[in-house]
Amino acid sequence: MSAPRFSVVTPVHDPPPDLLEACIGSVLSQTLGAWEWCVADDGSRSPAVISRLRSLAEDPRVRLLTHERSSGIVAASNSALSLATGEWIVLLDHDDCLELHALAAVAEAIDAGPDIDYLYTDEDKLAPDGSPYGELLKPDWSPERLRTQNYCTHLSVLRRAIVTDVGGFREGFDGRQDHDLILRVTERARRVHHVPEILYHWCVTPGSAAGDPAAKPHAQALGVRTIGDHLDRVGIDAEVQLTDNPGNFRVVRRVEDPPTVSVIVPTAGTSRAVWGIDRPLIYRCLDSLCSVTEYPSMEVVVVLDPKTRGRVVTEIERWRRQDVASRIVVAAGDEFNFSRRINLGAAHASGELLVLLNDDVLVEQRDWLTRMVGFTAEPDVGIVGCRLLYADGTLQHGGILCNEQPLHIFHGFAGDEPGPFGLLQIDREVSAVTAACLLTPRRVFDEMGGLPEHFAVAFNDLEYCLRVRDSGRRVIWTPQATLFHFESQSRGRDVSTDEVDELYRRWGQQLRHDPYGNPQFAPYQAEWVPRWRADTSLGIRRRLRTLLYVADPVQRASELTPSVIAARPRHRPRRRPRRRSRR
Amino acid sequence: MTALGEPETIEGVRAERDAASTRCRELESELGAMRGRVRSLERAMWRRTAQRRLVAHTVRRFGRLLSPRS
Repeated sequence: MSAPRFSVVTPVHDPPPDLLEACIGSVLSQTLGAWEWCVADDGSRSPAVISRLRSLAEDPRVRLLTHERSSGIVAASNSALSLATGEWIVLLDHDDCLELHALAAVAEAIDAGPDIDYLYTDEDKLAPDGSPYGELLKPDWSPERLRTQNYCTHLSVLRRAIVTDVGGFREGFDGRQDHDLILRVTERARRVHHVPEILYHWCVTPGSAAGDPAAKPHAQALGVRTIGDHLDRVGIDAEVQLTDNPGNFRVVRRVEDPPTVSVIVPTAGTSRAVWGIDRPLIYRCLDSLCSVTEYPSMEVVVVLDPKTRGRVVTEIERWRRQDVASRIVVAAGDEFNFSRRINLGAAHASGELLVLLNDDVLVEQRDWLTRMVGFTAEPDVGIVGCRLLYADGTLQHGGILCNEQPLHIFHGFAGDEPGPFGLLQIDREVSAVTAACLLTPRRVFDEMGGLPEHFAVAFNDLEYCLRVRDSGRRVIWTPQATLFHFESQSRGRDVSTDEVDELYRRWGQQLRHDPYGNPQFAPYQAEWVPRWRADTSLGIRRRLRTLLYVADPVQRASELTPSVIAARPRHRPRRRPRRRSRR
Repeated sequence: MTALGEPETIEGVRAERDAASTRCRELESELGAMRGRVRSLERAMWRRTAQRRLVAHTVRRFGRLLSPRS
């Protein structure tokens, strides 16, 4: 008999019997037949669990191994792994459920990509009453996010050859073993693939990590070790810190040999009232930039608009005399073209790294530049953006999500808004960041030919980011650097329809489908809203289906496959006989 | 301070201006925190409003179907 394609690996230790039953039902009812189930009973004491596992082992597709005493989840998982003969390892916890077509959907994705070595899917949680919540709709492969949050978790499907190669689960990482294994496997994987469909349900029980990540405090300390080891392996010199949000971490890169940074600031000397004081924005920008920033090797290139008032020019000249490393360049021509001014500034800059900075930005964080520069030690990082706040502290920029149109993520929310799953508190890849504050290596800037000058006012940053991403590099957004951006909250962008048309003509596909978004997001929403939250009929169908599924998965397995549901005629209420009017 | 309540020196004026600006910033931050809260609540209401509209729309459609004139 040939080996099955998938080996579902499950360590078991006294789960609630009803949840174990749901778990068993979800595996036995898989629509795809090519699987085996490797179960390691880690010294369960519950008679109901022991008896159920014994009866389960009678199924020829199930391989059961029993530990006399509990030896921890890592040892149990490795025991279950040792039973596996399939090409792929599917990780399943003893109290969770697979969607009935989970393996079929995974097999389909693998067939389409033979070089895939690791695959993950979306997931959600099920409350004790069976109602779904906490949908984690994931982005495509996002290595920076995996360093700061184990977003892949479930359902994880790993090529067995690599799992064996890395030595399976590591001893001493109980509670963090999945994250550790995923990091080690993805370091070697040729390709990581994401199936944007909820195929895994975490069943929440009191004390489970699904209900509350803080329920396993030891896992937090282990998380620091897990990520620290990963950083050592991939050669990133950084310190791992805990965040307020359990399960999320902060990776602070060390910058041992700081490269020279050129900050390019185009300005026309415009004034605006900020915190009650009306003065040219460039004064505040330059003062804060030079007095607050702690960075050993920084130069500033100010690109002046030809129409800048003489008094402002004099003041900037006075400032420059104090900072001999900086330069002032006067742009030619009357027509405003932001890209051209940045490119002119870049031509006069001598730094290995360029920071594009608007003149209405204020710096208050001393190490903002060091934090951003830290990412550029990795050669595949093309752009780094940061968190920008309005004068009132609300969020101006948390990265750009292309969801039918480019949108600022969580725009206008409180500056300390953590976002779902603490996503606004962690470093992660995004499709684009704003050029109000954008750091990019000089070599990347030159390779791209600078900012695109055909976008004079808007979208030049967006196109630059998309081009950099197209070249195989990553665009990182980090909340570790936070600056103020005094852009007017009420003013719309000065966007011409020509620029919009041009943008969609060039990048239409990328603007509609963001790899760092999810196809299940409601369109035109910048807050990662699942589409069934915006469409009630979808929401009701989803809830009903999950409730029925959890109630009796084995019984309903055959009739609840998605294709059957889709084909089933919609329920129509019987029409009641019309009552006669009393009048 | 003079009798009119104005500071005597330019440094005094600057200090008072900066203090007023700091207070202005504090107030703006408070306002911003409230704005953020409103935005967050609006987001929560958005879903419920969408649901209510859908239900109202369905009821209207049913109403039209069942009305004697249809």
